[in-house]
Amino acid sequence: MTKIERLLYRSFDAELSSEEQAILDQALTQSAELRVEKERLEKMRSQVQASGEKAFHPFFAEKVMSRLRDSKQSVQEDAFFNALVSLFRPIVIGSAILFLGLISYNIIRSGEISLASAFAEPQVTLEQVIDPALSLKLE
Amino acid sequence: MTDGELIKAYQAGDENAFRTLVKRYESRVAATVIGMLGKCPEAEDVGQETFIRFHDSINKFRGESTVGTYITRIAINLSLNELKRRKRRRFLFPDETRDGDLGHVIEDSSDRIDQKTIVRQAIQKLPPDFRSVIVLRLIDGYSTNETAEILKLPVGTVLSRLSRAQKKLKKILAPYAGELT
Repeated sequence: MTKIERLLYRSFDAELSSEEQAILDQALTQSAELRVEKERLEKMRSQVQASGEKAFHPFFAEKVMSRLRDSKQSVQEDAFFNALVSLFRPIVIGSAILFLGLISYNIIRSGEISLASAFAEPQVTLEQVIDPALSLKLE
Repeated sequence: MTDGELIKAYQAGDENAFRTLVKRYESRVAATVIGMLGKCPEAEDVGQETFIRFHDSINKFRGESTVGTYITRIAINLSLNELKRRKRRRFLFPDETRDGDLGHVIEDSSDRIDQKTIVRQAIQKLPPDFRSVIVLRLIDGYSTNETAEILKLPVGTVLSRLSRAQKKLKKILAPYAGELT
């Protein structure tokens, strides 16, 4: 792009200094080609301006408002769910701590690590299960 | 009612105030988004998303720029994101119809195609950086300074992109000079 061409293009979108404007004016007076280029550019710019589409499909605003209502509703549902979670979280954590405390207490008290002692179930020995006296009595 | 008053009314619970804002700026958003993406189903989705994003950030809007400029910035950013998404999709699925490369449409149906369509499709052939300055400056009618503000670019960069974009556009449109009377 020549300097004059650059000035010509810039003249449409920015204010040229008086010196630049004088150079461009002089070039336009002298060059028929540059005048044609200027006209072509003006025409193209007006065609681009006219090509703009200024609307979406009908009821665009209603569609936007409906999307907003939907998103508000889902925000409310999320808020309700979050409230439930925050309400039950302390209860769940408290219960878990109590449960672990009880298990620890039972294990410490019984002095042995087993599922039965954790749940404080009485230990039954094999002899107790198969009591010879009891079995004789039954016979 | 001014934009500021409508925003305050909406914040106070008046839903119609936001509807009025949407109606007020629909044409500007449509011009921006359709100019960037072409007339396609995604354009309306991007248009709707523009207003949803504006709604979500309405409490953060401090009025440093006008509502129009603010909404246009959202629209142009979402359009550029959509163009990136298309590019990725085109990379993954090269056999799909290539958006933005509609030269064949112009050539195939050159008998009855209107001037607007030719120009619009020529704009779609510009790279996104050039397209955004053309859309904002020529279609939306923003000043060079406003265009620079929306795109967060120096004015000099906008001017240089405008010159190069017009040069490229002129080249794309050259074969259709007969139809563009």
